[in-house]
Amino acid sequence: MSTATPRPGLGVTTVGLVHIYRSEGSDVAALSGVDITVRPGEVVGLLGPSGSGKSTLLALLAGLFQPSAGKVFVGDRDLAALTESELDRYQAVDGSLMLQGARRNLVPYLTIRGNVDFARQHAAKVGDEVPTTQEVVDLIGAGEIADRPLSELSQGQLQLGALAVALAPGPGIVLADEPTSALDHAARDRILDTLLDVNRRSGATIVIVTHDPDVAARLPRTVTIRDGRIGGEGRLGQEYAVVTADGFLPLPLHVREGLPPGTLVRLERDGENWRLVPEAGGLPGGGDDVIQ
Amino acid sequence: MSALRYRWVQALVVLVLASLVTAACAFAPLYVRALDQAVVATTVRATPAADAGVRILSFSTANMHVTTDYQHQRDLVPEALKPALADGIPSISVGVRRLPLAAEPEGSLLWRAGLCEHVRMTSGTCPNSAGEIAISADQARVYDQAVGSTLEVGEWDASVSRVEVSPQATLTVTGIYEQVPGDYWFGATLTGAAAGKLGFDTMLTPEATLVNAVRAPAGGGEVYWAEPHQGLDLPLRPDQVTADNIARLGAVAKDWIAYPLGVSRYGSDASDAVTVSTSLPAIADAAAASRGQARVTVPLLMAQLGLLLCTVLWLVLVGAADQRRGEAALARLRGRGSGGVRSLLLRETLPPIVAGVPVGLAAAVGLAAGARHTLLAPAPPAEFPPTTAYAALLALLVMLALAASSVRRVARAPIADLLRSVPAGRAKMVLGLLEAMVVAAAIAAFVALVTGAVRGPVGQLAPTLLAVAVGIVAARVVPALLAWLGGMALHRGWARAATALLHASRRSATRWLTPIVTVAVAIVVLSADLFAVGALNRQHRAAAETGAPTVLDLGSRDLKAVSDAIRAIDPTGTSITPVVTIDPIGSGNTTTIGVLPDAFSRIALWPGADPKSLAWQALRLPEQPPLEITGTSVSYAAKLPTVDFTSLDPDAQSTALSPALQIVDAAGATTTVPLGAIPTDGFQGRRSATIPCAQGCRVIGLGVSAPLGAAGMRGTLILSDLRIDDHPLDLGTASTWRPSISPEIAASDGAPGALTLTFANSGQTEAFVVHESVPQVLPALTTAPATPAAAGATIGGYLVDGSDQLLTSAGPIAYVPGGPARAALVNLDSLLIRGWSGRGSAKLTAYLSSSDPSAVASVRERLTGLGIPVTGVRHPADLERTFARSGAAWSLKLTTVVGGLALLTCAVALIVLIATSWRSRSRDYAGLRMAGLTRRDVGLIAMLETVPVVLLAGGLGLAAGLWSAPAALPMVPLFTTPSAIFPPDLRTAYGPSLLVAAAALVILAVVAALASRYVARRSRLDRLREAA
Repeated sequence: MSTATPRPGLGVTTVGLVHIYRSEGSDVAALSGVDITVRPGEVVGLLGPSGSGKSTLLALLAGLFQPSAGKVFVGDRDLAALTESELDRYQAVDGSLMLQGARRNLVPYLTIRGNVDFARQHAAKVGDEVPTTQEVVDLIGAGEIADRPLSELSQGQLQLGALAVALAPGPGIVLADEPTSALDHAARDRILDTLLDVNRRSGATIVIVTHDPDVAARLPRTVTIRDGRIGGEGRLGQEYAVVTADGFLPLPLHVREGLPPGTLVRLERDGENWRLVPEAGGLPGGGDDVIQ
Repeated sequence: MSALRYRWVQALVVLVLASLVTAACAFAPLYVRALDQAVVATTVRATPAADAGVRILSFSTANMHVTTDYQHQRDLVPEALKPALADGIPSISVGVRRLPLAAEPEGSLLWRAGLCEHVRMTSGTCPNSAGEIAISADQARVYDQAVGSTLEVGEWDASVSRVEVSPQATLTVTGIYEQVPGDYWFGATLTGAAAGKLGFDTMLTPEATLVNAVRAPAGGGEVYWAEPHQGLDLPLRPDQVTADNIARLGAVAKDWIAYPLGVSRYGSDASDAVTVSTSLPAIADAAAASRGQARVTVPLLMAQLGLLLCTVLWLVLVGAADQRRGEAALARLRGRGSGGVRSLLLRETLPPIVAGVPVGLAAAVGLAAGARHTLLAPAPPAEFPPTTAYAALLALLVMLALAASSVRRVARAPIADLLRSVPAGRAKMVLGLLEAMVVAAAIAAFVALVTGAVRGPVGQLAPTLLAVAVGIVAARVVPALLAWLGGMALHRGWARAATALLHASRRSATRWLTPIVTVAVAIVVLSADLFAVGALNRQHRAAAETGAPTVLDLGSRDLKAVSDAIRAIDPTGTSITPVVTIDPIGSGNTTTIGVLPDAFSRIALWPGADPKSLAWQALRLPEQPPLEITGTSVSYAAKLPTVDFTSLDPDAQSTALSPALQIVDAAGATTTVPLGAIPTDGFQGRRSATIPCAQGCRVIGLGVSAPLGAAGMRGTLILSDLRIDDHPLDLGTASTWRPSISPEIAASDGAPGALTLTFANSGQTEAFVVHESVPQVLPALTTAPATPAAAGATIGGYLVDGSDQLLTSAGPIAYVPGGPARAALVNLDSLLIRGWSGRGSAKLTAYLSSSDPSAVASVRERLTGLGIPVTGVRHPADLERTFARSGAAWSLKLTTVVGGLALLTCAVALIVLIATSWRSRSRDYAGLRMAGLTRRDVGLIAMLETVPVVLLAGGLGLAAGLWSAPAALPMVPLFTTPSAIFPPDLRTAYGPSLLVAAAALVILAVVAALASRYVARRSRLDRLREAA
């Protein structure tokens, strides 16, 4: 086990997070006011279709971009307010991003051990207590493959290596972008198990971007991003719609299918519950369907 | 190390390029140094020993006691020169004439230390006692002096030319010598005079003959020779003359020569007592000139290569940094700042750069060794001047700067940019700010070079800078052009071509490849042009200055004999023609050159000139045929009424005068033949006389001859019925005789068959009318320096015997092949009318149309058989070789190295560019394979994507090279010294340049095709999966 004191998990709070980028002469809003809170030590999955903005959200949490508007807090840090060196330190020690695609996380000519070394060097230099390379290797159970050339490793082993690199500085939060993509089931499960194990053992917060419903099903909390907004949330298998800070309520997909754009609905209080009552024909008093 | 191992090809490429950059920088000082040494060694070797060494000579026409004897002459040598000079060869000589002194042949007695070892005695023994001499075989034959015979001589020199004061000696001939040629003689030729009956050859004798007392004139006891010439010849020691000390030796020698040596020791009466001659200052000047030229040409060439290499290295380094964007992103992700990223990237590129420096140094040393043994053979000594290390250090600093600059962009890029895979986009047509600045600066530098406003480093770089400017602009234009062509091809349904062109238009490699190929091909073309122009100029100058494919120097001064012999060998004048060159007596005067126009125009070499355009027809001979006679006696009828005298003194009034003929005898000598005295108080009758014309004569004048000192006379002489050996001779009419103004004499017609001469001789002994077959003024084709400003003005020329002959310019000629700058070309036959043999400075040569050794040997044999010895054979190739062994030529030979390295560099860059883009290329090609294209189609597309770009950029490089070459050429010295007659031809050598450019383009196209096909073969479908 680690001789270094585990770094406490870092919570995340975003407030009205907006990110706009320019593409082919037009402004595109990747995120349009995201409010999300992740508690320290929590494991959260970010779900959503391609282009929904989940990877952008992850990059903002990693400090790769400055948000166009809104705030990002990781732990007690406002990422947008960090100086360059503070941001470097955050990225070196506290917030560890695991890029999509195993090879992108690995220096190609180093072994997994070498890559872990490479990743922890700067963290160790800036004065923080970081786990040793061997501890990291042991943590992910990669002792057998740690010293083999990357060219000899399978995709799953490479992904394990990428995870080792992400864990090298003993981060307070691990941001993993599609860590199980392009893996077979066994490899996928091993990666997921390792992530959850690390969470349990170190208390690090883990945010995972995934497409995979099986992966999502194993996560205690999922947040669905849709069209740059929080589209819903799942907890222990239960799906929820989330009311945003400005009062919007994105409808789940299966609800939207019954309520085409332009549909007029009435919200009626029913005890502790709210009822969503569409108007028939789009006119007041014309419908009977009630959604609860 | 693991990073280097992982990208070992890239590391190897960087190492190779770094070593090439270092080699290019370090090679220049090594080559210049080797060239310096070669220039000095070659110049010393090419200078005759007599000129390279020091000759000290001491004699006095005023007082023999102020002569410095050879034992003390060595003391005069400056200390700085002594190590470079070998032990001297002392000598003493005395001018003598056979007694009686009047008109006997003259010669000189010579002693040189150890002379017997440098002659071959063909008869008798080498003299070893006072009064003994050895003579030449010619002297023995011509003057009938056998071994054992004695010779009475008296001293005959500037101060001793009267019999009453001349020391005299009786000399005994002990042997017949033959001079063994060698440096020992310091250029002296002992023989030659006797063969031409011009006097004695040098007579060799022991020192005692010249230092012991000899007989005083008229039995007045003993005296010493009055004007001995004491000499000391100090040969130069070539091994002691180096590039380091030649300038000092030259300067010391110059001061020494310039100083009036005699004044300091003996006073003004002996200021000419000691003279020192040496060509050391000239050698030093020539060496300095050659070195100066090398310092222009070598940097000029190496600068172009260095610029290309630095550009390619920078490109590779930038490519290497771009390849590592992912690693840079990881480093940034793990908290390293831009400094950390920079050091991460540099850790991979700096080691091969640093390692490349010693490799490059070694390569430069090896290359220099190769150049020393091939280009500069015989090899000058191997040296390592400190400037080589400085150059290597400079190269390292430049490369470090390039490396630091190459990672700047990646190190500063935001992580998000680094993580993004950069899509291949079509290049914009608009230049970036930096590019625009480079283009503007390059064009400004080139314009400044063309207008002559700039020389030196900027001027040297200007040709490549122009290519860089063209390349940068082309890098923007070519992708757009390819895209347009691709669109056109797509529109016409040419799918493969369209795909290839559109791919090429989007590749960043295209934007890099274009300027690299443009610059490289421009350098190759420039190098080829410089090489070809240099070689062509050396060839043409050698041809113009030699004159013909073969020139035979003839050991005869008899133009008629030479002319007759050559006409006998080749009556049509198609393969051999005589040429006589008569140098003027004073400097700055015109050299007269006699040729046979038709044959000369055919056989002589005329590089850069068109002989057909010359006014050959103007070199006409007089229309009047010569008046030739053969016989031993002449008789004629004469009528001389009473003559009027200008003096009333009866003693001065001559009682007789003589009709006279002026003839040119068979030997070419002009002689006056008196035809018998006629009383001046009235005469009518016949006279006869003997004439020396048994072998035939040519009558060139007819007139009167009066006794020496007679008063001027005026009269009329009527001659008729002139007979030679009783055969009548028609003197022609008065119009065939040209009158003379001073003395005044003219011919007029009288009775049929009679000629009347009216004369007023103003006291001169002879007055002649000149036969019209003898031209008064010879028409000549004149070079610009010899052409008088006023049309029709006459210029001074010479006959073979040295007598004057007026010339007039009948047309211009750019130069006379084999002649000097100031020359007048005349019809050789007009020089045969009179004075064709004699003691002038005429040099007789034969121009041959062939250089074939067997043909030359045949002609030589036939000439020798006809009594015309051949003393030398010259070919343009001999002179060309001399030109080729000069600093200027050696510098130009470097173009082969530069051109080759530029091509190699470009090929490396091509491979690197294609290799660095192989991932995206192979992915694209895998996509094409998915779309159903065959491997062959993909291979074709891969080639079409690259080869046209190479050819297009190469074409631009060719144009840039051809355009910049004329601007660069005037900066390049082609010869150590300019030609007096042949102006440098700096026109672009299109043939060789185009040929070399075509070869370079083929090589580059093949390299591009092979590299493209290699990438295409790796377009497996798994590339697509990898991309996903």
